[in-house]
Amino acid sequence: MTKSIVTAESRGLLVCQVCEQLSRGVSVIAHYCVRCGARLHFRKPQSLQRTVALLIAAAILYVPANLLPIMRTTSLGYDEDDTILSGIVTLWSGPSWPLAILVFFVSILVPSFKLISLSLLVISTQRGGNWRLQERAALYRAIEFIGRWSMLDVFVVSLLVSLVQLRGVASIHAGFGAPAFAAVVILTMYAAQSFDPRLMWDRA
Amino acid sequence: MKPAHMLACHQCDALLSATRNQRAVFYCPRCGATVLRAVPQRLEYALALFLAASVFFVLANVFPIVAIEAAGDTVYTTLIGAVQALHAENMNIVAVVVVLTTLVIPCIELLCIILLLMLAKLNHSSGALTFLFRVREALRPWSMVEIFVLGSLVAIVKLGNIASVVLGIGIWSMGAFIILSAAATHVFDPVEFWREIKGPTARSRS
Repeated sequence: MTKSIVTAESRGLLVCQVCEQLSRGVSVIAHYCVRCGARLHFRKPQSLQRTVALLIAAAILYVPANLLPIMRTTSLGYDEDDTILSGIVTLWSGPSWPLAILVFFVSILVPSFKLISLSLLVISTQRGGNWRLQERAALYRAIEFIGRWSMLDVFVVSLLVSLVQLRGVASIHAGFGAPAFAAVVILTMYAAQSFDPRLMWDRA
Repeated sequence: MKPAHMLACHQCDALLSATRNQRAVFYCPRCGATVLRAVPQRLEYALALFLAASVFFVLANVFPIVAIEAAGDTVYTTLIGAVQALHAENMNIVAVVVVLTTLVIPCIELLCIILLLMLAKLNHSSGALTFLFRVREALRPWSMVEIFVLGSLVAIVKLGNIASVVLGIGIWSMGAFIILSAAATHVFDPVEFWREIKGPTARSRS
Protein backbone atom coordinates (compact mmCIF):
# COMPACT_ATOMS: atom_id res chain seq x y z
CA MET A 1 0.00 0.00 0.00
CA THR A 2 2.74 2.40 0.96
CA LYS A 3 5.31 0.81 -1.34
CA SER A 4 4.85 3.49 -4.00
CA ILE A 5 5.79 6.27 -1.56
CA VAL A 6 9.27 7.72 -1.97
CA THR A 7 10.80 9.47 1.01
CA ALA A 8 12.61 12.78 0.77
CA GLU A 9 15.59 11.24 2.53
CA SER A 10 16.02 8.53 -0.13
CA ARG A 11 16.33 11.30 -2.75
CA GLY A 12 18.85 13.22 -0.66
CA LEU A 13 16.35 15.90 0.28
CA LEU A 14 16.02 17.41 3.73
CA VAL A 15 12.71 18.85 4.91
CA CYS A 16 13.00 21.97 7.03
CA GLN A 17 11.03 21.34 10.24
CA VAL A 18 10.40 25.07 10.61
CA CYS A 19 9.31 26.24 7.15
CA GLU A 20 8.93 22.90 5.30
CA GLN A 21 11.31 23.92 2.51
CA LEU A 22 13.16 21.11 0.75
CA SER A 23 16.94 21.32 0.55
CA ARG A 24 19.38 18.98 -1.10
CA GLY A 25 22.17 17.56 1.02
CA VAL A 26 24.27 14.65 2.17
CA SER A 27 24.23 13.28 5.68
CA VAL A 28 27.80 14.00 6.79
CA ILE A 29 27.74 17.78 6.39
CA ALA A 30 25.78 20.19 8.60
CA HIS A 31 23.02 21.73 6.51
CA TYR A 32 20.96 24.85 6.94
CA CYS A 33 17.64 25.59 5.31
CA VAL A 34 18.11 27.58 2.09
CA ARG A 35 14.99 29.58 2.86
CA CYS A 36 14.77 30.23 6.59
CA GLY A 37 18.26 29.26 7.75
CA ALA A 38 17.19 26.68 10.35
CA ARG A 39 19.53 23.76 11.07
CA LEU A 40 18.50 20.72 9.04
CA HIS A 41 18.62 17.03 9.87
CA PHE A 42 17.41 14.06 7.87
CA ARG A 43 15.95 12.81 11.14
CA LYS A 44 15.87 14.52 14.53
CA PRO A 45 19.22 13.68 16.21
CA GLN A 46 19.09 10.93 18.88
CA SER A 47 15.33 11.19 18.74
CA LEU A 48 14.37 8.01 20.60
CA GLN A 49 17.07 8.31 23.27
CA ARG A 50 16.13 11.91 24.06
CA THR A 51 12.43 11.10 24.16
CA VAL A 52 13.03 8.18 26.53
CA ALA A 53 15.26 10.25 28.83
CA LEU A 54 12.69 13.05 29.04
CA LEU A 55 9.87 10.55 29.56
CA ILE A 56 11.68 8.89 32.46
CA ALA A 57 12.28 12.27 34.10
CA ALA A 58 8.62 13.18 33.60
CA ALA A 59 7.42 9.82 34.97
CA ILE A 60 9.52 10.28 38.13
CA LEU A 61 8.14 13.77 38.73
CA TYR A 62 4.63 12.56 37.92
CA VAL A 63 4.49 10.89 41.35
CA PRO A 64 5.10 14.01 43.52
CA ALA A 65 3.05 16.08 41.06
CA ASN A 66 -0.01 14.01 41.90
CA LEU A 67 0.67 13.09 45.52
CA LEU A 68 1.99 16.36 46.95
CA PRO A 69 -0.48 19.18 47.58
CA ILE A 70 -0.52 21.86 44.90
CA MET A 71 -2.00 24.33 47.36
CA ARG A 72 -2.95 24.78 51.00
CA THR A 73 -6.04 26.72 51.97
CA THR A 74 -6.07 28.28 55.42
CA SER A 75 -9.51 29.45 56.33
CA LEU A 76 -10.46 30.56 59.87
CA GLY A 77 -7.62 28.59 61.38
CA TYR A 78 -8.46 25.53 59.33
CA ASP A 79 -5.77 24.07 57.06
CA GLU A 80 -6.73 22.12 54.00
CA ASP A 81 -4.29 20.60 51.53
CA ASP A 82 -5.38 20.14 47.95
CA THR A 83 -3.77 17.81 45.46
CA ILE A 84 -4.65 17.97 41.76
CA LEU A 85 -7.25 15.23 42.22
CA SER A 86 -8.83 16.54 45.42
CA GLY A 87 -9.13 19.97 43.78
CA ILE A 88 -11.19 18.36 41.05
CA VAL A 89 -13.33 16.50 43.58
CA THR A 90 -14.08 19.82 45.33
CA LEU A 91 -15.01 21.38 42.02
CA TRP A 92 -17.21 18.39 41.13
CA SER A 93 -19.16 18.32 44.37
CA GLY A 94 -19.27 22.08 44.64
CA PRO A 95 -19.66 24.91 42.17
CA SER A 96 -19.38 23.46 38.71
CA TRP A 97 -19.30 19.88 37.43
CA PRO A 98 -18.70 20.77 33.75
CA LEU A 99 -15.56 22.62 34.78
CA ALA A 100 -14.56 19.66 36.95
CA ILE A 101 -14.74 17.43 33.86
CA LEU A 102 -12.62 19.90 31.91
CA VAL A 103 -9.96 20.10 34.63
CA PHE A 104 -10.02 16.32 35.04
CA PHE A 105 -9.42 15.99 31.32
CA VAL A 106 -6.46 18.39 31.05
CA SER A 107 -4.84 17.71 34.44
CA ILE A 108 -5.33 13.97 34.97
CA LEU A 109 -6.16 12.34 31.64
CA VAL A 110 -3.86 14.33 29.33
CA PRO A 111 -0.60 13.95 31.34
CA SER A 112 -1.09 10.21 31.95
CA PHE A 113 -2.29 9.67 28.39
CA LYS A 114 0.81 11.50 27.15
CA LEU A 115 3.23 9.45 29.25
CA ILE A 116 1.61 6.17 28.22
CA SER A 117 1.16 6.91 24.53
CA LEU A 118 4.62 8.46 24.04
CA SER A 119 6.14 5.33 25.65
CA LEU A 120 3.99 3.23 23.34
CA LEU A 121 5.18 5.25 20.32
CA VAL A 122 8.84 4.90 21.32
CA ILE A 123 8.56 1.13 21.94
CA SER A 124 6.62 0.42 18.76
CA THR A 125 9.04 2.56 16.73
CA GLN A 126 12.04 0.82 18.29
CA ARG A 127 10.57 -2.60 17.44
CA GLY A 128 9.61 -1.53 13.93
CA GLY A 129 6.77 -2.98 11.92
CA ASN A 130 3.65 -1.42 10.49
CA TRP A 131 1.24 -2.12 13.34
CA ARG A 132 -1.47 0.57 13.20
CA LEU A 133 0.84 3.11 11.57
CA GLN A 134 -1.92 5.52 10.60
CA GLU A 135 -3.33 5.50 14.13
CA ARG A 136 0.12 5.99 15.64
CA ALA A 137 0.68 9.00 13.37
CA ALA A 138 -2.65 10.46 14.44
CA LEU A 139 -1.84 9.72 18.09
CA TYR A 140 1.41 11.67 17.81
CA ARG A 141 -0.38 14.67 16.31
CA ALA A 142 -2.96 14.55 19.11
CA ILE A 143 -0.21 14.51 21.76
CA GLU A 144 1.56 17.46 20.15
CA PHE A 145 -1.65 19.45 19.99
CA ILE A 146 -3.10 18.78 23.41
CA GLY A 147 -0.01 18.69 25.66
CA ARG A 148 0.22 22.42 26.45
CA TRP A 149 -3.26 22.55 27.98
CA SER A 150 -2.14 20.65 31.06
CA MET A 151 -0.50 23.85 32.28
CA LEU A 152 -4.00 24.99 33.31
CA ASP A 153 -3.73 23.94 36.94
CA VAL A 154 -0.45 25.81 37.40
CA PHE A 155 -2.19 29.03 36.34
CA VAL A 156 -5.18 28.32 38.59
CA VAL A 157 -2.88 27.94 41.61
CA SER A 158 -0.88 31.08 40.79
CA LEU A 159 -4.04 33.19 40.59
CA LEU A 160 -5.56 31.75 43.76
CA VAL A 161 -2.33 32.31 45.67
CA SER A 162 -2.16 35.97 44.70
CA LEU A 163 -5.87 36.66 45.23
CA VAL A 164 -6.75 34.87 48.43
CA GLN A 165 -4.70 36.77 50.96
CA LEU A 166 -7.47 37.97 53.25
CA ARG A 167 -5.82 38.64 56.55
CA GLY A 168 -7.26 36.53 59.34
CA VAL A 169 -10.04 35.12 57.17
CA ALA A 170 -8.56 32.99 54.46
CA SER A 171 -5.32 32.54 52.60
CA ILE A 172 -4.04 30.16 49.97
CA HIS A 173 -0.43 29.07 49.61
CA ALA A 174 1.24 27.09 46.87
CA GLY A 175 2.45 23.55 47.58
CA PHE A 176 5.33 21.59 46.14
CA GLY A 177 3.01 19.66 43.87
CA ALA A 178 2.77 22.79 41.70
CA PRO A 179 6.42 23.00 40.53
CA ALA A 180 6.49 19.21 40.08
CA PHE A 181 3.37 19.36 37.95
CA ALA A 182 4.72 22.26 35.86
CA ALA A 183 7.92 20.26 35.31
CA VAL A 184 5.92 17.22 34.14
CA VAL A 185 4.09 19.35 31.57
CA ILE A 186 7.30 20.95 30.27
CA LEU A 187 9.24 17.66 30.15
CA THR A 188 6.47 15.84 28.29
CA MET A 189 6.20 18.76 25.84
CA TYR A 190 9.93 18.46 25.15
CA ALA A 191 9.63 14.67 24.91
CA ALA A 192 6.92 15.05 22.25
CA GLN A 193 9.08 17.56 20.37
CA SER A 194 12.13 15.27 20.44
CA PHE A 195 10.22 12.31 19.03
CA ASP A 196 10.58 12.06 15.27
CA PRO A 197 7.44 10.48 13.76
CA ARG A 198 9.33 9.83 10.51
CA LEU A 199 11.26 7.07 12.27
CA MET A 200 8.19 4.89 12.60
CA TRP A 201 7.58 5.13 8.85
CA ASP A 202 11.25 4.36 8.16
CA ARG A 203 11.05 1.21 10.23
CA ALA A 204 7.66 0.03 9.00
CA MET B 1 7.96 15.24 -11.26
CA LYS B 2 9.54 18.66 -11.44
CA PRO B 3 11.26 19.84 -8.27
CA ALA B 4 9.13 22.98 -8.32
CA HIS B 5 6.04 20.92 -7.57
CA MET B 6 7.63 18.73 -4.96
CA LEU B 7 6.69 18.80 -1.33
CA ALA B 8 7.60 16.55 1.51
CA CYS B 9 5.47 15.67 4.49
CA HIS B 10 7.28 16.94 7.60
CA GLN B 11 5.83 14.10 9.68
CA CYS B 12 6.52 11.00 7.58
CA ASP B 13 8.99 12.31 4.97
CA ALA B 14 6.88 11.17 1.99
CA LEU B 15 7.70 13.05 -1.20
CA LEU B 16 4.50 14.39 -2.66
CA SER B 17 3.60 16.33 -5.73
CA ALA B 18 1.00 18.94 -5.02
CA THR B 19 -0.54 21.29 -7.48
CA ARG B 20 -1.05 24.70 -5.97
CA ASN B 21 -4.56 25.91 -5.22
CA GLN B 22 -6.01 22.48 -5.72
CA ARG B 23 -7.65 22.40 -2.33
CA ALA B 24 -7.83 24.63 0.71
CA VAL B 25 -6.08 22.03 2.87
CA PHE B 26 -3.86 19.27 1.57
CA TYR B 27 -3.30 16.24 3.77
CA CYS B 28 -0.47 13.75 3.44
CA PRO B 29 -1.93 10.63 1.76
CA ARG B 30 0.38 8.40 3.80
CA CYS B 31 0.15 9.64 7.39
CA GLY B 32 -2.66 12.19 7.28
CA ALA B 33 -0.65 15.21 8.48
CA THR B 34 -1.59 18.64 7.17
CA VAL B 35 0.95 19.45 4.46
CA LEU B 36 -0.52 22.54 2.86
CA ARG B 37 -3.00 25.11 4.06
CA ALA B 38 -3.99 27.50 1.35
CA VAL B 39 -4.46 30.48 3.64
CA PRO B 40 -5.04 33.72 1.76
CA GLN B 41 -2.00 35.86 2.49
CA ARG B 42 -3.22 39.29 3.48
CA LEU B 43 -0.25 40.99 5.03
CA GLU B 44 -1.96 44.31 5.76
CA TYR B 45 -4.91 42.66 7.50
CA ALA B 46 -2.60 40.50 9.56
CA LEU B 47 -0.43 43.46 10.51
CA ALA B 48 -3.45 45.53 11.54
CA LEU B 49 -4.83 42.65 13.61
CA PHE B 50 -1.51 41.96 15.32
CA LEU B 51 -1.05 45.67 16.12
CA ALA B 52 -4.53 45.76 17.64
CA ALA B 53 -3.69 42.57 19.55
CA SER B 54 -0.55 44.20 20.95
CA VAL B 55 -2.62 47.08 22.37
CA PHE B 56 -4.80 44.56 24.22
CA PHE B 57 -1.70 42.66 25.28
CA VAL B 58 -0.42 45.78 27.04
CA LEU B 59 -3.82 46.40 28.64
CA ALA B 60 -3.96 42.77 29.78
CA ASN B 61 -0.72 43.21 31.66
CA VAL B 62 -1.38 46.64 33.14
CA PHE B 63 -4.91 46.18 34.46
CA PRO B 64 -6.15 43.74 37.11
CA ILE B 65 -7.33 40.34 35.93
CA VAL B 66 -9.78 39.66 38.73
CA ALA B 67 -10.69 41.14 42.06
CA ILE B 68 -12.40 39.50 45.01
CA GLU B 69 -14.45 41.13 47.73
CA ALA B 70 -14.69 39.31 51.03
CA ALA B 71 -15.05 40.43 54.62
CA GLY B 72 -15.00 44.06 53.55
CA ASP B 73 -11.67 43.60 51.89
CA THR B 74 -10.99 43.97 48.18
CA VAL B 75 -8.03 42.13 46.72
CA TYR B 76 -7.16 42.33 43.06
CA THR B 77 -4.36 40.86 41.05
CA THR B 78 -2.54 41.52 37.82
CA LEU B 79 -0.44 39.03 35.94
CA ILE B 80 2.69 40.49 37.48
CA GLY B 81 0.99 40.40 40.87
CA ALA B 82 0.42 36.67 40.51
CA VAL B 83 4.08 36.16 39.64
CA GLN B 84 5.17 38.28 42.62
CA ALA B 85 2.92 36.30 44.94
CA LEU B 86 4.53 33.07 43.78
CA HIS B 87 7.96 34.58 44.29
CA ALA B 88 7.00 35.62 47.81
CA GLU B 89 5.97 32.02 48.49
CA ASN B 90 9.40 30.79 47.38
CA MET B 91 7.79 29.14 44.40
CA ASN B 92 10.32 30.61 42.04
CA ILE B 93 10.17 27.78 39.51
CA VAL B 94 6.44 28.22 39.12
CA ALA B 95 6.85 32.01 39.02
CA VAL B 96 9.35 31.69 36.17
CA VAL B 97 7.11 29.29 34.25
CA VAL B 98 4.12 31.63 34.60
CA VAL B 99 6.00 34.80 33.66
CA LEU B 100 7.62 33.13 30.64
CA THR B 101 4.54 31.43 29.22
CA THR B 102 2.08 34.29 29.71
CA LEU B 103 4.22 37.41 29.47
CA VAL B 104 7.76 37.15 28.08
CA ILE B 105 7.22 34.57 25.32
CA PRO B 106 3.92 36.00 24.00
CA CYS B 107 5.55 39.45 24.02
CA ILE B 108 8.61 38.33 22.02
CA GLU B 109 6.37 36.35 19.68
CA LEU B 110 4.18 39.38 19.04
CA LEU B 111 7.17 41.67 18.44
CA CYS B 112 8.69 39.15 16.03
CA ILE B 113 5.57 38.78 13.93
CA ILE B 114 4.91 42.54 13.80
CA LEU B 115 8.49 43.28 12.76
CA LEU B 116 8.39 40.41 10.27
CA LEU B 117 5.22 41.74 8.66
CA MET B 118 6.53 45.30 8.55
CA LEU B 119 9.80 44.23 6.92
CA ALA B 120 7.91 42.01 4.47
CA LYS B 121 5.58 44.89 3.62
CA LEU B 122 8.62 47.03 2.81
CA ASN B 123 9.84 44.23 0.52
CA HIS B 124 12.83 43.93 2.73
CA SER B 125 14.53 40.59 2.46
CA SER B 126 17.44 39.90 4.72
CA GLY B 127 18.70 37.60 7.40
CA ALA B 128 16.62 39.54 9.90
CA LEU B 129 13.41 38.29 8.30
CA THR B 130 14.39 34.64 8.50
CA PHE B 131 15.72 35.07 12.04
CA LEU B 132 12.42 36.60 13.24
CA PHE B 133 10.52 33.82 11.52
CA ARG B 134 12.56 31.08 13.19
CA VAL B 135 12.34 32.64 16.64
CA ARG B 136 8.58 32.94 16.38
CA GLU B 137 8.10 29.37 15.18
CA ALA B 138 10.27 28.05 18.03
CA LEU B 139 8.36 30.03 20.67
CA ARG B 140 4.85 29.27 19.44
CA PRO B 141 4.04 26.18 21.55
CA TRP B 142 5.25 27.94 24.71
CA SER B 143 2.93 30.91 24.48
CA MET B 144 0.01 30.05 26.76
CA VAL B 145 -2.20 33.12 27.17
CA GLU B 146 -5.32 31.19 26.13
CA ILE B 147 -4.63 28.50 28.73
CA PHE B 148 -4.11 31.20 31.35
CA VAL B 149 -7.52 32.68 30.55
CA LEU B 150 -9.17 29.27 30.96
CA GLY B 151 -7.25 28.87 34.22
CA SER B 152 -8.58 32.23 35.40
CA LEU B 153 -12.12 31.05 34.74
CA VAL B 154 -11.52 27.93 36.82
CA ALA B 155 -10.03 30.05 39.61
CA ILE B 156 -13.02 32.42 39.48
CA VAL B 157 -15.49 29.55 39.78
CA LYS B 158 -13.51 28.06 42.67
CA LEU B 159 -13.61 31.41 44.48
CA GLY B 160 -17.33 31.78 43.91
CA ASN B 161 -18.13 30.13 47.27
CA ILE B 162 -15.95 32.21 49.49
CA ALA B 163 -16.06 35.66 47.94
CA SER B 164 -17.72 37.77 45.29
CA VAL B 165 -15.57 37.96 42.22
CA VAL B 166 -15.23 40.93 39.86
CA LEU B 167 -13.74 40.41 36.41
CA GLY B 168 -11.08 42.98 35.62
CA ILE B 169 -10.10 44.78 32.43
CA GLY B 170 -7.09 42.46 32.25
CA ILE B 171 -9.06 39.31 31.55
CA TRP B 172 -11.28 40.96 28.93
CA SER B 173 -8.15 42.30 27.24
CA MET B 174 -6.61 38.84 27.24
CA GLY B 175 -9.76 37.52 25.59
CA ALA B 176 -9.55 40.25 22.93
CA PHE B 177 -5.85 39.50 22.45
CA ILE B 178 -6.56 35.80 21.84
CA ILE B 179 -9.39 36.50 19.38
CA LEU B 180 -7.37 39.08 17.41
CA SER B 181 -4.30 36.82 17.27
CA ALA B 182 -6.43 33.92 16.06
CA ALA B 183 -8.01 36.14 13.40
CA ALA B 184 -4.56 37.30 12.27
CA THR B 185 -3.35 33.71 11.99
CA HIS B 186 -6.42 33.04 9.87
CA VAL B 187 -5.35 35.57 7.22
CA PHE B 188 -1.63 35.02 7.49
CA ASP B 189 0.28 31.77 7.77
CA PRO B 190 4.06 32.30 7.83
CA VAL B 191 4.82 28.89 6.29
CA GLU B 192 2.51 29.68 3.37
CA PHE B 193 4.00 33.13 3.16
CA TRP B 194 7.47 31.68 2.64
CA ARG B 195 6.17 29.28 0.07
CA GLU B 196 4.86 32.21 -1.92
CA ILE B 197 8.03 34.28 -1.65
CA LYS B 198 10.31 31.45 -2.67
CA GLY B 199 8.70 28.37 -4.16
CA PRO B 200 9.39 24.92 -2.76
CA THR B 201 12.30 24.27 -5.04
CA ALA B 202 15.02 21.89 -4.00
CA ARG B 203 18.28 23.72 -4.31
CA SER B 204 21.68 22.49 -3.28
CA ARG B 205 23.91 24.13 -0.80
CA SER B 206 26.76 22.51 1.01
